[in-house]
Amino acid sequence: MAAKRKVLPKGIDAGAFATALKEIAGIIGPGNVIVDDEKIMPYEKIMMPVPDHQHAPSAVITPGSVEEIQRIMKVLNRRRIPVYPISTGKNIGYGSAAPVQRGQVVMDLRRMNRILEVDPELCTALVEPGVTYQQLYDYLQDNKLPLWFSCPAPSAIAGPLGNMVDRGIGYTPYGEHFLFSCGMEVVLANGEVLRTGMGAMPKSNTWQVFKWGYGPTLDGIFTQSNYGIVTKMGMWLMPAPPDFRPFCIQYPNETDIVKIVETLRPLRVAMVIPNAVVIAHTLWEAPCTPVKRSDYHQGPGAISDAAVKKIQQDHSIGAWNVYAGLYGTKETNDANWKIIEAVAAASGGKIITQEQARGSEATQYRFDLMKGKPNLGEFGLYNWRGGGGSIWFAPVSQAKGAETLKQMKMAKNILGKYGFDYVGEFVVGWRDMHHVIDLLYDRSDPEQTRQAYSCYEELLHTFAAEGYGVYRASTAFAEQVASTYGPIKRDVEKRLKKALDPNNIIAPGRCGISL
Amino acid sequence: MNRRSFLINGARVAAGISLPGWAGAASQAVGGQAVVADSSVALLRPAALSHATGMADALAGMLAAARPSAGCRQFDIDGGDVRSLTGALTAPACSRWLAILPPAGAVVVTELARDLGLGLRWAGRHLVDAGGIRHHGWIAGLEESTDWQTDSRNWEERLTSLYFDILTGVAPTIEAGNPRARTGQANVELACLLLTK
Repeated sequence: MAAKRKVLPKGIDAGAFATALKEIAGIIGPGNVIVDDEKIMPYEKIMMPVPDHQHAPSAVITPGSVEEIQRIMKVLNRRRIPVYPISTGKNIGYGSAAPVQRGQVVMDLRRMNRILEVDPELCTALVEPGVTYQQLYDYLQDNKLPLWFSCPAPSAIAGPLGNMVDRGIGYTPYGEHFLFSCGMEVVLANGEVLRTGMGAMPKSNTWQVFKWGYGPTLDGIFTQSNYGIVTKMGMWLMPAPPDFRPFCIQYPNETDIVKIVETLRPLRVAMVIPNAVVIAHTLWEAPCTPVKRSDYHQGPGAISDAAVKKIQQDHSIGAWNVYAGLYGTKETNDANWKIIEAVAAASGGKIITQEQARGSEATQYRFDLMKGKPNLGEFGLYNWRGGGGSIWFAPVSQAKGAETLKQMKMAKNILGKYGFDYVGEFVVGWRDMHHVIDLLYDRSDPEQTRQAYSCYEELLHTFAAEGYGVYRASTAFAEQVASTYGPIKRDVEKRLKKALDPNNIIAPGRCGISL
Repeated sequence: MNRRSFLINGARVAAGISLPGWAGAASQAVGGQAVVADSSVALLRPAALSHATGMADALAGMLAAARPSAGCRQFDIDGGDVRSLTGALTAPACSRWLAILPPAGAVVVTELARDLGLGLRWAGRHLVDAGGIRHHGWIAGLEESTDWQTDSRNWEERLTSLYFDILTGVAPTIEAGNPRARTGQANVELACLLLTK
């Protein structure tokens, strides 16, 4: 038997906490209240450059229904115990399943894992928080439903509800995930259940097809926030196209990012290329190929440009590798393919087709993601530097070449100053780009961990000074990131918190929101 | 160290370094007694990682020698394949899982352990280069030495010995060596996890 938990919620004594857990056990059963260290440890493992104990939960509870959550919220509200809800808890590199503040009780919703409805005609689904992308994929396959969804890179184990609520992105034409959600069910701090959009109306059958309902649209305030616990979410599915033609275009030089973006933007805005295009740097491709860093760089510091060039030559990787696809009929794709060939030729890119890419791990996992097939190919990134440290820095950029080059150079300079490699990609929305950088470091090395923390801070504040904000951030930096968006927005967020959660019990501190 | 002396002595090296976090937590976990539990142990390792398979084979031999009645099963896993991992982590009759993996695989296994309601008793990471082995371990919330180094000669045997002790609940010790100049970049990095039902 493992040791009992010594971590407590802030301001709560051991006796009161034990009593509260006993009450909760009475609601969900003692087997669904976890206090043993060994069982809690997987909730505590983080990859951020701060000590695990800063994000250690006091307990984990695993309710199995909305009704149980409602009753639990009444207990927590009465006793002022903070709770940190997770769906599948796969926000890896953003804090994983660990709470934003030490001592919060993790509410793990993994037992609520039903696919409640899939409508093959309207191409919609309604899912619970514990549903994983793999589960949904298997359901569609088993039932021979020709429907696709968009999923993020760690998709086989992550879930659509959590990813949409955190405003994650994927790689199909439905890649801006929150945009393709439709209708939420939310348990509020006082235990009331709110359904957004058309879901608020009794007997409505349009909850998953019409987002807006009547009056203010509320869905957005339940994303990247702590105003409620999302227990159901509608999502739109994409009809599987008759013809899917993924491709990669490789470019030889880092500065080619300018012409890549200028060339692709019109095609993306006009939806000739309908999916969320990825422009991946060499060092994103290399670990997933896989290439060993130690074969090209020994000793401290960032890998040199010469070594990166050598990797490109040795493994046929571009300085930038553009991943996109055509989705349509054979006829429409044949027509659009001519445009792609012309664009690649004019911009100095080399096209790699699905047939030519066969056997390439890095390319295949991308092609799979572009058709919503979950996989874990991108976890190869964690073998690059080793040591289990990873934190995402993800500023937003305009989809303009000069902007992307500027951001890339800024990031590379700052990372290099601290001895870290630029492992980055741009994911193209319609008019924006998510510039996603994986700050990989050795978390077992205290000095490197300190450097990673400082590096992230410098990245954040240098980018903010130029007007570049991040779209998503880890729990360790939530407060700092929120502060870059200015005081008025924060004040409004706080007033909303006070109105919806006056006792500040749902994930205080998440996204910098607290009373 | 040959196989015979390794089996006899390898797991009980006298003048060694104790891992500080382990002692207290292991005592709590097993009532201060070293044990080899009867329940079946699952060893998880990817076939593509020859170091891991070699170490798992040696561990299986050590377990059989130490307690012939205890069951031990080996699973070939692919860190990118959720189905094979889930199958191994839900294997009937197993109550402890020791996984020897590359870093990315360890991230996936830790995540799946949570999904499956398993406990995480110990997690270790080992960076090996010509200069030595660097160990970073973690048990029940206690950080072990973050820069514990030993000579990297026979590193597979040394780590196997460490893993055996971890698996059997003994406060582990490993022969101290004289590490040479480090290269700053590991040639091999292994992660090891001990999961419990």
